[in-house]
Amino acid sequence: MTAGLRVLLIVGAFLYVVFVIRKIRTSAIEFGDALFWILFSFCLLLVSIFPQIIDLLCDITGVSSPVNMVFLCIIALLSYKCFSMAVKLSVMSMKLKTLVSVISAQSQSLQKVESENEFEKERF
Amino acid sequence: MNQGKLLVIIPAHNEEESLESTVSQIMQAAPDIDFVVVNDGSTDSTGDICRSRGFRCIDLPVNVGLSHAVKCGMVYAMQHGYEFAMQFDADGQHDARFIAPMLEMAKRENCDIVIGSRFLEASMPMSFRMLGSRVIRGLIQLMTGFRMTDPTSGMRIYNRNMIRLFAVMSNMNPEPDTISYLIRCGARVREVPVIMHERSCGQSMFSLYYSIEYMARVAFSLCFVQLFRKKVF
Repeated sequence: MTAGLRVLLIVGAFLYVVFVIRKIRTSAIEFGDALFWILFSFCLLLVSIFPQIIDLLCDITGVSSPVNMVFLCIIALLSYKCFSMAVKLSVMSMKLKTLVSVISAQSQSLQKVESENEFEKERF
Repeated sequence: MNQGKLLVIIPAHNEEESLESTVSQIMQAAPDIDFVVVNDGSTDSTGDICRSRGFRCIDLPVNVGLSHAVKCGMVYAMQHGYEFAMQFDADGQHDARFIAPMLEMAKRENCDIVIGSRFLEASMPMSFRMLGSRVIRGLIQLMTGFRMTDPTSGMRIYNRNMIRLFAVMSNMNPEPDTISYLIRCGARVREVPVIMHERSCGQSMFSLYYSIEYMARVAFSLCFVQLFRKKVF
Protein backbone atom coordinates (compact mmCIF):
# COMPACT_ATOMS: atom_id res chain seq x y z
CA MET A 1 0.00 0.00 0.00
CA THR A 2 1.44 3.37 -0.93
CA ALA A 3 2.07 6.09 1.62
CA GLY A 4 -0.44 8.31 -0.16
CA LEU A 5 -3.24 5.75 0.22
CA ARG A 6 -2.41 5.25 3.89
CA VAL A 7 -2.56 9.01 4.50
CA LEU A 8 -5.87 9.15 2.61
CA LEU A 9 -7.33 6.39 4.80
CA ILE A 10 -6.17 8.13 7.98
CA VAL A 11 -7.69 11.42 6.83
CA GLY A 12 -10.91 9.61 5.86
CA ALA A 13 -11.12 7.91 9.26
CA PHE A 14 -10.52 11.22 11.04
CA LEU A 15 -13.22 12.98 8.98
CA TYR A 16 -15.77 10.24 9.71
CA VAL A 17 -15.09 10.54 13.45
CA VAL A 18 -15.44 14.34 13.31
CA PHE A 19 -18.77 14.09 11.45
CA VAL A 20 -20.11 11.50 13.90
CA ILE A 21 -19.05 13.57 16.93
CA ARG A 22 -20.81 16.62 15.46
CA LYS A 23 -24.01 14.62 15.08
CA ILE A 24 -23.67 13.19 18.60
CA ARG A 25 -23.26 16.69 20.08
CA THR A 26 -26.52 17.84 18.54
CA SER A 27 -28.29 14.49 19.14
CA ALA A 28 -28.93 14.35 15.37
CA ILE A 29 -28.20 10.64 15.26
CA GLU A 30 -29.39 7.66 17.29
CA PHE A 31 -26.32 6.69 19.28
CA GLY A 32 -26.63 3.01 18.41
CA ASP A 33 -26.18 3.95 14.73
CA ALA A 34 -23.05 5.95 15.52
CA LEU A 35 -21.29 2.77 16.68
CA PHE A 36 -21.07 1.36 13.13
CA TRP A 37 -19.40 4.51 11.76
CA ILE A 38 -16.91 4.70 14.62
CA LEU A 39 -15.97 1.03 14.06
CA PHE A 40 -15.74 1.75 10.32
CA SER A 41 -13.34 4.63 11.02
CA PHE A 42 -11.36 2.41 13.37
CA CYS A 43 -10.99 -0.23 10.62
CA LEU A 44 -9.74 2.41 8.15
CA LEU A 45 -7.26 3.61 10.73
CA LEU A 46 -6.12 0.07 11.54
CA VAL A 47 -5.36 -0.90 7.95
CA SER A 48 -3.55 2.39 7.30
CA ILE A 49 -1.32 1.90 10.35
CA PHE A 50 -0.89 -1.86 9.79
CA PRO A 51 -0.95 -2.41 5.98
CA GLN A 52 0.27 -5.96 6.64
CA ILE A 53 -3.39 -6.86 7.34
CA ILE A 54 -4.31 -5.96 3.76
CA ASP A 55 -1.24 -7.81 2.43
CA LEU A 56 -2.32 -10.92 4.36
CA LEU A 57 -5.86 -10.71 2.99
CA CYS A 58 -4.41 -10.32 -0.54
CA ASP A 59 -2.30 -13.46 -0.06
CA ILE A 60 -5.32 -15.43 1.18
CA THR A 61 -7.76 -14.31 -1.49
CA GLY A 62 -5.36 -13.98 -4.44
CA VAL A 63 -6.14 -10.31 -5.00
CA SER A 64 -3.02 -8.84 -6.61
CA SER A 65 -3.34 -5.19 -5.64
CA PRO A 66 -3.66 -4.03 -1.99
CA VAL A 67 -5.74 -1.00 -3.02
CA ASN A 68 -8.29 -3.35 -4.63
CA MET A 69 -8.52 -5.27 -1.35
CA VAL A 70 -9.13 -1.98 0.50
CA PHE A 71 -11.94 -1.18 -1.96
CA LEU A 72 -13.36 -4.68 -1.56
CA CYS A 73 -13.39 -4.42 2.24
CA ILE A 74 -15.01 -0.98 2.19
CA ILE A 75 -17.63 -2.16 -0.32
CA ALA A 76 -18.37 -5.22 1.84
CA LEU A 77 -18.88 -3.08 4.96
CA LEU A 78 -21.04 -0.58 3.10
CA SER A 79 -23.09 -3.41 1.58
CA TYR A 80 -23.79 -4.73 5.06
CA LYS A 81 -24.79 -1.24 6.21
CA CYS A 82 -26.97 -0.74 3.15
CA PHE A 83 -28.77 -4.03 3.81
CA SER A 84 -29.33 -3.29 7.50
CA MET A 85 -30.69 0.15 6.60
CA ALA A 86 -33.03 -1.45 4.04
CA VAL A 87 -34.36 -3.75 6.75
CA LYS A 88 -34.87 -0.80 9.12
CA LEU A 89 -36.61 1.15 6.39
CA SER A 90 -38.96 -1.76 5.68
CA VAL A 91 -39.89 -2.04 9.35
CA MET A 92 -40.48 1.72 9.57
CA SER A 93 -42.60 1.63 6.40
CA MET A 94 -44.80 -1.12 7.85
CA LYS A 95 -45.20 0.79 11.12
CA LEU A 96 -46.02 4.00 9.26
CA LYS A 97 -48.75 2.26 7.28
CA THR A 98 -50.20 0.83 10.49
CA LEU A 99 -50.19 4.31 12.05
CA VAL A 100 -51.91 5.77 8.96
CA SER A 101 -54.65 3.13 9.26
CA VAL A 102 -55.13 3.69 12.99
CA ILE A 103 -55.19 7.49 12.77
CA SER A 104 -57.54 7.44 9.78
CA ALA A 105 -59.94 5.06 11.52
CA GLN A 106 -59.87 7.18 14.69
CA SER A 107 -60.40 10.35 12.67
CA GLN A 108 -63.38 8.74 10.91
CA SER A 109 -64.87 7.66 14.26
CA LEU A 110 -64.37 11.18 15.63
CA GLN A 111 -66.10 12.72 12.62
CA LYS A 112 -69.01 10.31 13.08
CA VAL A 113 -69.34 11.25 16.77
CA GLU A 114 -69.15 14.98 15.93
CA SER A 115 -71.84 14.68 13.24
CA GLU A 116 -74.10 12.74 15.64
CA ASN A 117 -73.60 15.49 18.25
CA GLU A 118 -74.51 18.14 15.66
CA PHE A 119 -77.66 16.20 14.79
CA GLU A 120 -78.66 15.95 18.45
CA LYS A 121 -78.10 19.70 18.96
CA GLU A 122 -80.31 20.55 15.95
CA ARG A 123 -83.06 18.27 17.22
CA PHE A 124 -83.24 20.13 20.53
CA MET B 1 -52.52 19.00 39.09
CA ASN B 2 -50.67 16.00 40.51
CA GLN B 3 -48.29 18.00 42.71
CA GLY B 4 -45.99 15.75 44.75
CA LYS B 5 -47.46 12.60 43.21
CA LEU B 6 -45.73 9.59 41.71
CA LEU B 7 -46.74 7.94 38.44
CA VAL B 8 -45.67 4.32 37.99
CA ILE B 9 -45.02 3.63 34.30
CA ILE B 10 -45.45 -0.02 33.35
CA PRO B 11 -44.20 -0.66 29.80
CA ALA B 12 -45.74 -3.90 28.55
CA HIS B 13 -45.18 -5.82 25.35
CA ASN B 14 -47.02 -9.15 25.27
CA GLU B 15 -47.17 -9.50 29.05
CA GLU B 16 -50.62 -11.08 29.33
CA GLU B 17 -49.38 -13.73 31.77
CA SER B 18 -47.85 -11.43 34.38
CA LEU B 19 -49.49 -8.01 33.93
CA GLU B 20 -52.53 -8.61 36.11
CA SER B 21 -50.53 -9.91 39.08
CA THR B 22 -47.94 -7.12 38.72
CA VAL B 23 -50.59 -4.38 38.74
CA SER B 24 -52.44 -6.08 41.64
CA GLN B 25 -49.22 -6.06 43.66
CA ILE B 26 -48.74 -2.35 42.99
CA MET B 27 -52.34 -1.56 43.96
CA GLN B 28 -51.92 -3.57 47.15
CA ALA B 29 -48.49 -2.23 48.16
CA ALA B 30 -49.10 1.37 47.12
CA PRO B 31 -52.88 1.96 46.84
CA ASP B 32 -52.66 5.76 46.63
CA ILE B 33 -50.15 5.78 43.79
CA ASP B 34 -51.18 6.28 40.17
CA PHE B 35 -49.96 3.93 37.47
CA VAL B 36 -50.27 3.71 33.72
CA VAL B 37 -49.68 0.67 31.54
CA VAL B 38 -48.02 1.51 28.23
CA ASN B 39 -49.22 -1.22 25.91
CA ASP B 40 -46.36 -1.30 23.40
CA GLY B 41 -48.05 -2.76 20.35
CA SER B 42 -48.88 -6.04 22.06
CA THR B 43 -50.33 -8.75 19.85
CA ASP B 44 -51.67 -10.80 22.78
CA SER B 45 -54.42 -9.88 25.22
CA THR B 46 -52.39 -7.29 27.21
CA GLY B 47 -54.65 -4.46 25.98
CA ASP B 48 -57.84 -6.49 26.61
CA ILE B 49 -56.72 -7.21 30.19
CA CYS B 50 -56.20 -3.49 30.81
CA ARG B 51 -59.65 -2.63 29.44
CA SER B 52 -61.49 -5.41 31.28
CA ARG B 53 -59.77 -4.66 34.61
CA GLY B 54 -60.02 -0.88 34.18
CA PHE B 55 -56.26 -0.27 34.30
CA ARG B 56 -55.20 3.13 33.02
CA CYS B 57 -53.59 2.23 29.69
CA ILE B 58 -51.92 3.97 26.78
CA ASP B 59 -52.26 1.80 23.68
CA LEU B 60 -49.44 2.29 21.21
CA PRO B 61 -50.58 1.17 17.75
CA VAL B 62 -47.13 -0.17 16.83
CA ASN B 63 -44.24 -1.65 18.82
CA VAL B 64 -41.66 1.07 19.50
CA GLY B 65 -39.43 -0.69 22.05
CA LEU B 66 -38.87 -0.26 25.77
CA SER B 67 -37.10 3.12 25.62
CA HIS B 68 -39.84 4.82 23.65
CA ALA B 69 -42.62 3.14 25.61
CA VAL B 70 -41.08 4.65 28.76
CA LYS B 71 -40.75 7.98 26.90
CA CYS B 72 -44.47 7.80 26.17
CA GLY B 73 -45.10 7.32 29.90
CA MET B 74 -42.84 10.29 30.64
CA VAL B 75 -44.77 12.48 28.20
CA TYR B 76 -47.98 11.44 29.96
CA ALA B 77 -46.44 12.22 33.37
CA MET B 78 -45.28 15.64 32.18
CA GLN B 79 -48.64 16.51 30.64
CA HIS B 80 -50.46 15.56 33.84
CA GLY B 81 -48.06 17.39 36.12
CA TYR B 82 -46.65 14.46 38.10
CA GLU B 83 -43.77 15.25 40.44
CA PHE B 84 -42.14 11.82 40.09
CA ALA B 85 -42.24 8.97 37.59
CA MET B 86 -41.08 5.42 38.07
CA GLN B 87 -40.34 2.68 35.57
CA PHE B 88 -41.72 -0.66 36.75
CA ASP B 89 -41.42 -3.88 34.77
CA ALA B 90 -44.56 -5.82 33.92
CA ASP B 91 -42.87 -9.21 34.08
CA GLY B 92 -42.92 -9.61 37.86
CA GLN B 93 -39.22 -8.97 38.50
CA HIS B 94 -39.73 -5.71 40.38
CA ASP B 95 -41.17 -5.77 43.91
CA ALA B 96 -43.86 -3.15 44.62
CA ARG B 97 -43.00 -3.09 48.35
CA PHE B 98 -39.97 -0.96 47.56
CA ILE B 99 -41.89 1.81 45.77
CA ALA B 100 -42.57 3.62 49.07
CA PRO B 101 -38.95 3.61 50.38
CA MET B 102 -37.65 4.76 46.98
CA LEU B 103 -40.20 7.59 46.85
CA GLU B 104 -39.34 8.57 50.40
CA MET B 105 -35.64 8.79 49.48
CA ALA B 106 -36.49 10.91 46.41
CA LYS B 107 -38.46 13.39 48.52
CA ARG B 108 -36.17 13.44 51.53
CA GLU B 109 -32.89 13.95 49.67
CA ASN B 110 -34.36 15.97 46.80
CA CYS B 111 -32.99 13.48 44.29
CA ASP B 112 -33.19 13.69 40.54
CA ILE B 113 -32.92 9.91 40.21
CA VAL B 114 -33.36 7.13 42.75
CA ILE B 115 -32.19 3.68 41.69
CA GLY B 116 -33.43 0.48 43.29
CA SER B 117 -30.24 -1.52 43.70
CA ARG B 118 -30.01 -5.26 44.23
CA PHE B 119 -26.38 -4.97 45.27
CA LEU B 120 -26.27 -2.04 47.72
CA GLU B 121 -26.34 -4.41 50.67
CA ALA B 122 -25.73 -7.72 48.88
CA SER B 123 -22.72 -8.39 46.70
CA MET B 124 -23.05 -8.90 42.95
CA PRO B 125 -22.85 -12.62 42.12
CA MET B 126 -19.94 -13.87 40.01
CA SER B 127 -21.75 -14.99 36.91
CA PHE B 128 -21.44 -14.38 33.18
CA ARG B 129 -24.63 -12.32 33.25
CA MET B 130 -23.20 -10.06 35.94
CA LEU B 131 -19.80 -9.76 34.22
CA GLY B 132 -21.23 -7.18 31.84
CA SER B 133 -22.80 -5.30 34.76
CA ARG B 134 -19.42 -5.23 36.52
CA VAL B 135 -17.78 -3.78 33.41
CA ILE B 136 -20.49 -1.13 33.10
CA ARG B 137 -20.21 -0.34 36.81
CA GLY B 138 -16.46 0.20 36.41
CA LEU B 139 -16.91 2.40 33.34
CA ILE B 140 -19.54 4.55 35.09
CA GLN B 141 -17.22 5.04 38.06
CA LEU B 142 -14.40 5.98 35.68
CA MET B 143 -16.53 8.47 33.77
CA THR B 144 -18.49 10.03 36.63
CA GLY B 145 -16.81 9.10 39.91
CA PHE B 146 -20.17 7.74 41.11
CA ARG B 147 -20.15 4.15 42.33
CA MET B 148 -23.41 2.76 40.96
CA THR B 149 -23.86 -0.64 42.55
CA ASP B 150 -26.60 -1.81 40.17
CA PRO B 151 -26.26 -0.05 36.81
CA THR B 152 -28.66 -2.33 34.94
CA SER B 153 -31.51 -2.02 37.44
CA GLY B 154 -34.65 -0.91 35.62
CA MET B 155 -36.34 0.18 38.85
CA ARG B 156 -35.74 3.94 38.94
CA ILE B 157 -37.64 7.00 40.11
CA TYR B 158 -37.17 10.26 38.20
CA ASN B 159 -38.15 13.70 39.44
CA ARG B 160 -39.92 16.46 37.49
CA ASN B 161 -36.73 17.79 35.90
CA MET B 162 -35.74 14.35 34.63
CA ILE B 163 -39.31 13.65 33.43
CA ARG B 164 -39.15 16.74 31.26
CA LEU B 165 -35.77 15.75 29.79
CA PHE B 166 -36.94 12.22 29.03
CA ALA B 167 -40.13 13.55 27.45
CA VAL B 168 -38.67 16.22 25.19
CA MET B 169 -35.07 15.24 24.40
CA SER B 170 -33.95 12.62 21.92
CA ASN B 171 -31.54 9.80 22.83
CA MET B 172 -32.85 9.72 26.40
CA ASN B 173 -33.17 6.03 27.18
CA PRO B 174 -33.69 4.48 30.63
CA GLU B 175 -30.27 2.85 30.31
CA PRO B 176 -27.00 3.09 32.32
CA ASP B 177 -25.30 5.30 29.70
CA THR B 178 -28.03 7.94 29.90
CA ILE B 179 -27.89 7.85 33.71
CA SER B 180 -24.12 8.32 33.49
CA TYR B 181 -24.65 11.31 31.17
CA LEU B 182 -27.18 12.85 33.58
CA ILE B 183 -24.75 12.38 36.49
CA ARG B 184 -22.09 14.20 34.46
CA CYS B 185 -24.62 16.98 33.88
CA GLY B 186 -25.01 17.28 37.65
CA ALA B 187 -28.04 15.10 38.43
CA ARG B 188 -28.38 14.04 42.07
CA VAL B 189 -28.58 10.24 42.19
CA ARG B 190 -29.12 7.97 45.18
CA GLU B 191 -29.60 4.22 45.54
CA VAL B 192 -32.03 2.29 47.73
CA PRO B 193 -31.66 -1.44 48.50
CA VAL B 194 -34.34 -3.54 46.82
CA ILE B 195 -35.01 -7.18 46.11
CA MET B 196 -35.92 -8.36 42.64
CA HIS B 197 -37.36 -11.68 41.58
CA GLU B 198 -36.68 -13.92 38.63
CA ARG B 199 -38.99 -13.27 35.69
CA SER B 200 -42.31 -14.96 36.60
CA CYS B 201 -43.68 -15.60 33.11
CA GLY B 202 -42.98 -15.17 29.45
CA GLN B 203 -39.69 -14.87 27.61
CA SER B 204 -36.94 -12.41 28.31
CA MET B 205 -35.72 -10.41 25.37
CA PHE B 206 -32.19 -10.90 26.68
CA SER B 207 -30.80 -13.85 24.71
CA LEU B 208 -27.02 -14.40 24.91
CA TYR B 209 -26.41 -12.55 21.61
CA TYR B 210 -28.64 -9.65 22.65
CA SER B 211 -26.93 -9.47 26.08
CA ILE B 212 -23.47 -9.24 24.49
CA GLU B 213 -24.66 -6.69 21.93
CA TYR B 214 -26.35 -4.66 24.71
CA MET B 215 -23.20 -4.60 26.85
CA ALA B 216 -21.01 -3.61 23.88
CA ARG B 217 -23.42 -0.85 22.89
CA VAL B 218 -23.64 0.53 26.45
CA ALA B 219 -19.86 0.34 26.91
CA PHE B 220 -19.29 2.22 23.63
CA SER B 221 -21.88 4.82 24.62
CA LEU B 222 -20.29 5.28 28.05
CA CYS B 223 -16.72 5.58 26.77
CA PHE B 224 -17.30 7.63 23.68
CA VAL B 225 -20.77 8.97 22.96
CA GLN B 226 -21.57 10.44 26.37
CA LEU B 227 -18.23 12.30 26.41
CA PHE B 228 -19.23 14.43 23.44
CA ARG B 229 -22.88 14.97 24.21
CA LYS B 230 -23.84 18.54 25.01
CA LYS B 231 -24.71 18.94 28.69
CA VAL B 232 -28.25 20.04 29.34
CA PHE B 233 -27.95 21.58 32.78
